[in-house]
Amino acid sequence: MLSIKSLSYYYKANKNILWNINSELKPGNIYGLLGLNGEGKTTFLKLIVGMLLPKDGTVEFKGHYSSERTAEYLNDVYFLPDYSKLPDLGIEEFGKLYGAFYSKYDHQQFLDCIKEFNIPTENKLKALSLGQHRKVHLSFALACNCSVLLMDEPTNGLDIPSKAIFRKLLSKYINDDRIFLIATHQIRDIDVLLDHLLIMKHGSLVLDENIYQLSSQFKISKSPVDAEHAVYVQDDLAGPFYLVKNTSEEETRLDIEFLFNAFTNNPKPIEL
Amino acid sequence: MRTISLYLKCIFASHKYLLFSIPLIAVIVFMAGLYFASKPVFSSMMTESSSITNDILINMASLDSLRWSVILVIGLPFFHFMLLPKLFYKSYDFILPISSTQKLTAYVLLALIISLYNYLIVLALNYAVEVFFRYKYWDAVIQAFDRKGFLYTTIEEDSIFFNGSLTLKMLPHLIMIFILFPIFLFSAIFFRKYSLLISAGILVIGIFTGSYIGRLLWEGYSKMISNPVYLGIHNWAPILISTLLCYIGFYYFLKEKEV
Repeated sequence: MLSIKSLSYYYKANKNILWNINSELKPGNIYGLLGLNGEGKTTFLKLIVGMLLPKDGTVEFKGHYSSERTAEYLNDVYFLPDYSKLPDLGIEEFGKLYGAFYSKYDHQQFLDCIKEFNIPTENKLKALSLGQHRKVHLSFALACNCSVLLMDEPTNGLDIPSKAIFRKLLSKYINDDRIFLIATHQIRDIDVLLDHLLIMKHGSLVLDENIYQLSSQFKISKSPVDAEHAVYVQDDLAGPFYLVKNTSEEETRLDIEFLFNAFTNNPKPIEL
Repeated sequence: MRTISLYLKCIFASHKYLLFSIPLIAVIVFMAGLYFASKPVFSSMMTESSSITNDILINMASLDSLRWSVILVIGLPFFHFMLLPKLFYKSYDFILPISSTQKLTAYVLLALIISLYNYLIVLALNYAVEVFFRYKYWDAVIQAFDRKGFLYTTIEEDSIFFNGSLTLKMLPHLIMIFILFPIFLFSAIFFRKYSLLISAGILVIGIFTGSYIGRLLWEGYSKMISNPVYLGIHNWAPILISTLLCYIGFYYFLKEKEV
């Protein structure tokens, strides 16, 4: 389990980017991290991997703290940034050389992912387009088989078929020992895969809940009858939509984008 | 050690151009030095054999070796070390499961390999000049001495005819690189831009401040110091201490670096 306790961070002392974040990320889940631009999603991921050091609080995984940046911790936590600029090497060479640092790296898995993305392995990374670079980096990130994989806008630069391949690979390689945490604005690219939702607002988590729990607690309604009890109303071209408490306790399919708007735009905090 | 060698392998594999850029830059700067700093040597190499007189040959015997090439041995590697600051900001490098101690060790080894490679190129170039002069002029100079009646005059041992072997003696000067290297690393991690210029600036300021304070403290008295411990260490201890402090400082900055 990845434990985040009282995590705070600022670049300028009087302006907190993240404030008192607490969460526990459990293996076997794909977490979606959502938030408006500048809410601190990338900072949050960088704090988890140890690229930034917390001003307060801790991030701990298997007894190692992110702030210590031990080889053991970094062997377990991999961060895929929102851009991919890899060294000037051949694709295979890159996998072999850099994969050798990770104890669970599987070169065949790397090649399989590359093959899924339809990239010829004999290519040099320098010769690849931005999107292809991204695919190689994604393949490498998955093949490292780190227990925690943090992805910042992983679908950036991917074409439409590749987004489907990416989803396929995520569902193929998630297992009971791994945690995937994906920060994205392109929620439609991954919403079907998410098990858990983290929503950030003003540097804090306003939602940290399992999707299945959410869908048993809330439902989205178009019926005017629900207007009175709605915790959030969103006016759309097709008329108003209401987020209401689900009293039937039946799981309903929730639109994550709607949910995100509800938790970030609502003037009053929504109680779970 | 495995991790360090793996890391070095990664750096060299992704900077293969070093294999060519190190000799290329050394050759270009060496040629420029030959032309601008050793004009008599350059002219002697360019002169037609038929137009060489006995006087020219005798002067050749005392032509200075290319001593300035020690600057190439110490200075040129720093241009190639410029790849290091870029690594500090690459996420795929930053998050590698490797400790700061291992990274620092790898940087020092990388500096050693680049410095030795550069030194070997400079050595080869200096030997090439020596071979050129020996092959073309050695016998002619000896004969010129005979013709002019200089029976007991020989070719000077610090002349261009011993240029290569004199460069061999520059090998210990490589230690200078490892005295300056931590200053470079320190400024590279502390200042994101112009680290080479800044480290040179720090060095110049350090030298001036050190010598100014030294003069201020010992003005008129330095010759009266007879403490054998002080006399034994005053030349190297301050340099060693500042070098170690820079290495330690860099290590802690590397450990605390945020990207």
